[in-house]
Amino acid sequence: MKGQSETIGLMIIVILLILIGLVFLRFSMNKDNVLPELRTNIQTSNLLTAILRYNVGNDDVRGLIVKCVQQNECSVLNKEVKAILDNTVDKRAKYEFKAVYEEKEVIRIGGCNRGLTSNIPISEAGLFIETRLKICSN
Amino acid sequence: MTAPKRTKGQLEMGENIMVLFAIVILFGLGLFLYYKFVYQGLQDVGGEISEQESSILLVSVASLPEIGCDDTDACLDSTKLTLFKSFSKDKLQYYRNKWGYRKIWAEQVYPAIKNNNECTPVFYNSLEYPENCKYWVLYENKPIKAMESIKVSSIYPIYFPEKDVFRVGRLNIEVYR
Repeated sequence: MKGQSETIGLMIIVILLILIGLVFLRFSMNKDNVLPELRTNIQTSNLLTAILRYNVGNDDVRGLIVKCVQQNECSVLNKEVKAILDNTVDKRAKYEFKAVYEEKEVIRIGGCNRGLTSNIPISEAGLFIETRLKICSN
Repeated sequence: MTAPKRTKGQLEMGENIMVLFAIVILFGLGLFLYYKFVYQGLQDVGGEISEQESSILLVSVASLPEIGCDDTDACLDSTKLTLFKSFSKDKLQYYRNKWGYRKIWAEQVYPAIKNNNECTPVFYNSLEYPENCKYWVLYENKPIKAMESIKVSSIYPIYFPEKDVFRVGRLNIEVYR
């Protein structure tokens, strides 16, 4: 009888310790993830700005996007933007660069589902083109 | 001669002492682990705060008139980057108070530069510039004994006024702790 009550007491102590451990883990894992997202958002926006300003010969990427819309000459744009993204985006992350004109995708490089998106509109030569860059850190 | 026979009370007392000893050991272990977790947690929070401060600093450094371009978009001026070291020499204490134990540098990312030279006025005056150098160290204040460092960086356009072109660069901040 005495042995049984000691065993029950020991079990209660063990269960209590497990509960305390679980509560501790629950609180230690519940961290706020807003700031890293904000940081990534700023970085995505800076990267898109840098891409659009990059010069290829006499043109910058903005000019190449306009050329792509007007004259359907997109090969240089494709090559350069892909090279910039491959050199700057973290190897573990995926990216998606898009230029949209009149609801139609003019160009799409890469692809990913969930991530932080940055938009910069281009208004040149009477055209209004929206550029979007999405970085998905997997 | 025979050994003195232990009474039941003495045995129970020994048992109690053993249990008490085990409890003290367990309590001590628990306390040690608790403080270790709390200490680790505080270190993590400290690291996170340093990282946040540096992320804010990244944005503010890029918009400084002594480094940034003259237009509204965030961008770095390569001429200002080259001259910043000599410019800041006289105001070193001002920047030390402002930036503390950190290293701040900018580098060319795309097109990739093959060499690993620091961009100094000597390289700047060469005909091969900006292909002849890769990075600019703007500020460095390393403590004698740094335990660890945290690095934050962001991509920025770098403007080369002498050629009127933009390239892709990266601004880095390393915090020493």
